[in-house]
Amino acid sequence: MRLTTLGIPLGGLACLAACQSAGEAPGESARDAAAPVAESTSAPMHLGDAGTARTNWEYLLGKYDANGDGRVEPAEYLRDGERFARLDLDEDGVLSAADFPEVGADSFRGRYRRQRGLRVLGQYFQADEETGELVLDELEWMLTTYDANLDEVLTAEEFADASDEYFTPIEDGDASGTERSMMGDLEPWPVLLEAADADGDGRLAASEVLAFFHANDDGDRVLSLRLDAEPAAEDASGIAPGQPAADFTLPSPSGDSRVSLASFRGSKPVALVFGSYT
Amino acid sequence: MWASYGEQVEFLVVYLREAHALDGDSPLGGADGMPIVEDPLTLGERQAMAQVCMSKLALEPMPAVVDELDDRVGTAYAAHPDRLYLIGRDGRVAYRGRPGPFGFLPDELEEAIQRELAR
Repeated sequence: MRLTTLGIPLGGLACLAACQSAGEAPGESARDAAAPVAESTSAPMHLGDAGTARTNWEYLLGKYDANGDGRVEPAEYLRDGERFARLDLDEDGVLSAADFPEVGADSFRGRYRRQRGLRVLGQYFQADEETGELVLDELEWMLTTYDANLDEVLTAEEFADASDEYFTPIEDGDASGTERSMMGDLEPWPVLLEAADADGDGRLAASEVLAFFHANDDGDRVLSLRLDAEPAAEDASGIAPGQPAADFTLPSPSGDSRVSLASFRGSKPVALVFGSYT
Repeated sequence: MWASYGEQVEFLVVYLREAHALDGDSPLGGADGMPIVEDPLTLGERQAMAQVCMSKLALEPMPAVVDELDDRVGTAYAAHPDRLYLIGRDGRVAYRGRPGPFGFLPDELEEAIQRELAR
């Protein structure tokens, strides 16, 4: 989704905007504004400025490891103790690299990437649009079809050629919010590689694709592509059309004003854009 | 869209709890375009984070407010992690987007705006 469509990208206000900025690293910004410092309960937060940190652990280490021993002890962590406990994945009383698995199926990022890989698998290997299911027989047939030289390995070229022949790329306006929010501007082949290329050789053996399938199919030869955290499709939550909007009076980010929803009644419609940076 | 309708429609960003703070419920960050942030623990911290967000996404001219730490408004509108609404001139909900991120569809909001302005 293009930033200029609304001025706000899809899902977690920053996510796709950051993806769309070519070469922009997380935490950096094209703007030169100094990151504001907010007073916190215990230590000032330098917000939006991850410096050179490329991972959550690097960030925490840089911020809290006062004695430079590569770990963060409770005394060094200057925030809420409950948050420390939440971060201490192995519950050993200190924060270390072991608490921040960046790879592996069980890491949060691993699950996020797996979901994206499943989305690509479904889109390009003919998942049923209504049920969101991909049947093993269908997948096996498609693998054979894609494998132009019948060497049981898919390359980027074979994937691209088959995609051109069989599928229309996801376009704005065509795809559901699901596809757009999960794929953004990402090309499908790298996403699928990331999810399924077990030996990391940049090609997908049919066996790797099938292994990825079986890792996610509950053993019933049918892959359900309903994402783990996908909310209900129906919009029964919130305030229904026709109902009075819940009034609120909230502060501006700078704190120098407060805005009341009711103040707009009778003059202009109000588009409410709910979201956060991440 | 804001450039097209900004005179006739008030756009208001309502800044919510971070969806993917590194010490939150759904930690992401550092890859796939996701910023690395710690979860704001005070209203002041959340306000500062909102300022960063509006600045880094070049949204600053658009009005924004920040939800209280108890997430009262986000909860009332079932808006987490993100969602779009249009409130009509009569103070009633004219459009309720489906829950985000999957239902966050600016195209739908634009259609709703057009319908509302035509009334």
